[in-house]
Amino acid sequence: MRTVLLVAGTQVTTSDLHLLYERAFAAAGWRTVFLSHDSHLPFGEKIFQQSQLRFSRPHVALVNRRVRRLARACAPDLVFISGSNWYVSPDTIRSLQRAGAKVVLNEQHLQVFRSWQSACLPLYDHVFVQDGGLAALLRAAAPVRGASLLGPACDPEEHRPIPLGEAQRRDFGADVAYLGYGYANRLAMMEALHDFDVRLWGVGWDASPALAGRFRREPVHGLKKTLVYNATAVNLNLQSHQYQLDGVTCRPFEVAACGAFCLTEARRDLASFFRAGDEMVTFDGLDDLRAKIAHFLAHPDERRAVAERARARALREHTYGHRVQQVITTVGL
Amino acid sequence: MYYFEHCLRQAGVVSPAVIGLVRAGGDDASSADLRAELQDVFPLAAFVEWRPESGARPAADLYVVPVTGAHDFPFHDVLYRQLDAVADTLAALPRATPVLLCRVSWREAEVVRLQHFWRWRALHRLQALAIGLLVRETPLRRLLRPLA
Repeated sequence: MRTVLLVAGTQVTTSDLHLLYERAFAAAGWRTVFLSHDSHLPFGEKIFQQSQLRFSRPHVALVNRRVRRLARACAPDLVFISGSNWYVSPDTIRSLQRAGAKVVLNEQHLQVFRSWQSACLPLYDHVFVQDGGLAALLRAAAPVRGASLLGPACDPEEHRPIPLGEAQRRDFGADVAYLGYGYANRLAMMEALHDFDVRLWGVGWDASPALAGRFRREPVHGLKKTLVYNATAVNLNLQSHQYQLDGVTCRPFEVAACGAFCLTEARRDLASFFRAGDEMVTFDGLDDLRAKIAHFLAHPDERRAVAERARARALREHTYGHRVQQVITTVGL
Repeated sequence: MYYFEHCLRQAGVVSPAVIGLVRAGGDDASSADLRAELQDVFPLAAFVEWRPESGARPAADLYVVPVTGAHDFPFHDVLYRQLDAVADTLAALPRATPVLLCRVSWREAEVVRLQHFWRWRALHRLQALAIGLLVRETPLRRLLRPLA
């Protein structure tokens, strides 16, 4: 049985991505070993993290020591650095490879500009990116051995249709919902939708007094996220200008797997995964967004038909299982 | 749902038949969310609820203690600011049963083994002390500035 060491670059408390990859590797018959950044942090790392001293020399050294120790203990065939390389040094990558592991990066946040992040680029056996723009940039301008697009995905066990009761519809439902962080541009956009029944989930929304009463300041993951997607007529997907060039987040894939309807900001990569207009509806600018929200609220049958086609495509081609097969095939394991 | 499964698996907790949900803070919405998540992970588990002030504690294979205080998104696990209240709740639970301590305001969970409760409490106090020293703007903090 082959072993994969998953090194989670970000906290599993803020994203399920790493755990869903772990589950997909396990389903593919691999032994999985997981290195996380959460409450289980060792004593010293926790202190640096909580003191906002991440990336300080001793913090980075502690994380790297933990990676090397765990690799010595489990002798992985593959080290999968998941969700960007926030900490792993070039020396650690060389030592993992000397021990016989293939090391790949799954780049999610355009984090390739810090000194050690760029120094690692020529070392990886392969760089997977969630953004076609970055893949093209790396292939053209960086000394990588190989770079390819590894699309966002869904997990049919996690993201699934759920029959809702009246109470759940009331607690989690709305005509329009967005689930994520309230960046300044998003606050302005949501304020401009004031005449719709809009509900916001996540954090940062309290920065706008105009949005008071429309959000709940609480984490939304796992089952609750699935319930929100199921209970919402129009799930919005807004892209980050900080973390994506042409890429899309996993939200349209998760909404699709729930059998729910997603209205997403147009991005170039989307055409690689869904047929625009037929399986996924996009908007470009506020006027278009308002017009499409109004249209799809008035046409629930049309909304449901798009959602059904999106779900079929997501399950057929865009699960974490498909992505893991792509990784295994690409690195030749 | 997979997050809780991950936390429990990392800590070596097997599927519990009875889950004891401790309602110390009185936040009904958080407790309901937590219960729904855990029921999704363990569909066959039975749930019993218990308020520490209500007397006899029901038996369970896993106790779940929600921590309902505020948090500093995204990196501050501020459990150490509520350590005494949490420790009082934990002290009322049996030593042999694992406890899932859930920060419900920011979804972070850890399994606490109460056989080693004094050690858990001492480590968190020490961490709180070190964090308190390091968050202040001192020459030490300037020395530990982030790598570029």
